[in-house]
Amino acid sequence: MFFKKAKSDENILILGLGGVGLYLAKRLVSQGYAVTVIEQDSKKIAHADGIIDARILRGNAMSIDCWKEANVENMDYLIAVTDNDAVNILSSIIADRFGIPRKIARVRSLELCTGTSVLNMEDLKVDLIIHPEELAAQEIVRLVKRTAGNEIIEIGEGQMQVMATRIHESSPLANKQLNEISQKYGDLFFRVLAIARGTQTIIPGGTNFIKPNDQVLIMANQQALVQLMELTGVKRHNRHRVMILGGGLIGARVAELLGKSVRVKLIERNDYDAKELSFALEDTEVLHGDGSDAEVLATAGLADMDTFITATQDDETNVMTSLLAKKLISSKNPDSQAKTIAMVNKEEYLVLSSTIGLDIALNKKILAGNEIIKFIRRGELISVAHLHGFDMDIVELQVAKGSPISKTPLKKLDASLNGKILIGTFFRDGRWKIAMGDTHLQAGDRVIAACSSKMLRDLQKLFLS
Amino acid sequence: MKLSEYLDESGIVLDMTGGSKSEILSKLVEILTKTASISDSAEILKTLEDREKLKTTGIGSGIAIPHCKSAEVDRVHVVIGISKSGIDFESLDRQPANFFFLLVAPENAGSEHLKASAKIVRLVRDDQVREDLLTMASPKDVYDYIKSKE
Repeated sequence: MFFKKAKSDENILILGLGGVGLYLAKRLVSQGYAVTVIEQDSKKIAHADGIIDARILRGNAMSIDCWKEANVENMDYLIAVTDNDAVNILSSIIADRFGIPRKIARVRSLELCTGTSVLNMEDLKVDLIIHPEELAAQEIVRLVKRTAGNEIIEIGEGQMQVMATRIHESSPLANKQLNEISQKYGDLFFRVLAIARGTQTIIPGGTNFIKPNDQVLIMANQQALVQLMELTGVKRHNRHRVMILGGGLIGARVAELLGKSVRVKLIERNDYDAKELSFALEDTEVLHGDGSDAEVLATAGLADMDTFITATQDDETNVMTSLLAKKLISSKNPDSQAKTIAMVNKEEYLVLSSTIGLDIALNKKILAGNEIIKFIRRGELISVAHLHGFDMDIVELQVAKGSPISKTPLKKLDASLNGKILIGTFFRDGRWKIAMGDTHLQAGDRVIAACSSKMLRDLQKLFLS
Repeated sequence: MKLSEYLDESGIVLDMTGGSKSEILSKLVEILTKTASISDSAEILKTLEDREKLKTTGIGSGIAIPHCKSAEVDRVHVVIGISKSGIDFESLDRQPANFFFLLVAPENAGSEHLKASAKIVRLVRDDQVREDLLTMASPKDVYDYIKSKE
């Protein structure tokens, strides 16, 4: 057993130190929560013990003695993310008996807690059910439907949008200082929230430069976003020809969700699974073959595709086939705007994605972890969003009466917060306004801000009375 | 395969020097020739330089992973160059690089080179590991340290 003293007043019990459990433990500890983890596998414990400052108990998730040792009666949240659906569900019921107020369970089966299920969430005592594969499928569908492969999220009840896009050498924003950009495009309602450069995420001030290859996070209203997309060379066009490699939970679900509105081809290696899928997916053309083979891809009509998605169980197959597909498409059609989306389990491939040439790499454990954090945070903040590739959160908050931020103009805030927290826009008198140094926030203003996960609590404190 | 299995002590250099990306690549290939039997090192150097023109392999935080496939090698080789002061490698974060991991894989390596790159990233993305590596006194220390982390 390993013991490390917790340091916060909000207590979270995590069952399972797999991919999602470890990712959550890391992020929640960095946000100041007191995290206790129960895990049976000593190898996973040894690995995690060097990485996270959490209390880790070795034991079975179903052992009541272990729960008692974890001081279960003091817990505010249970997050059950073992690799066993039944254990996760049963844990929620046990947690309810112990009086844990909020329970979150990871479940792979889509048959639990849907409209037609025999048991509902109340029966199972669960407040949030997380389906990582479903989240990944929904994310892919969103990316396919929304833009040319750049990430866009909505915030402020859809009135503001945040776009992540990579800056090319020829972009008019490249090698420009932010002050210069805001002067030149002063009539556009937008704000650069963050710059991801290599492994670093920078929360910029007016003197920062945007460099070629930077990935920038831009917040804008709908009208400005369209103009900014033109400016940064992002073409918005509807994708209507999609090829998916791998008919597992994610691939099949993406085909199911897209099939009605988009032409979808799915390549599955396993003969039996391909036959099953061809019956189940009425609107999808299911092909049997080894999709990592260039000839198979060409025969399947890869050259005509707008989006190529790799969703097999194997990271390397997904990465290599995405790169192969990109090469094959551009050799046939050099002007193609086709994008690739690769599912990867190893976080290392997210770090390597830009240098090895992937357009978009998605990691389902990060998607699941973010959804859980959003749920935990929802009681405290209006909303929290997190974008792949940026070590930061975009947060919507409301200014409380007497809060520190309402007492002084933004430029007079504690200087140590510069580069750590950015107040982007605020909503007052029925409209959104860009926050400037002279802006003096008032109680009741709704604000969209950006900060690293580590600073989330400090940001919140500024808004509380 | 573990990262240490691609490594050899003779392929680790602690006092990397060089004023440009080209010089660093050249130095790394020179180190490679000590650990692998290479008949045409110029060909490997050219492939590496061509690869860098497509996209820099300096991924930031002081890390660079130049890589290529070549018929000159019959297995994956990794050589390491460390520079305490850091050298400009046109990295994504525009900061000097301290850790150069040259990775050369055979043409038919399949996904092995990807897995090896991922192992390198897993090792050096830890701030403490990078700090520790900068304090190593000998190639043997680096080799033993990497082995201890696996």
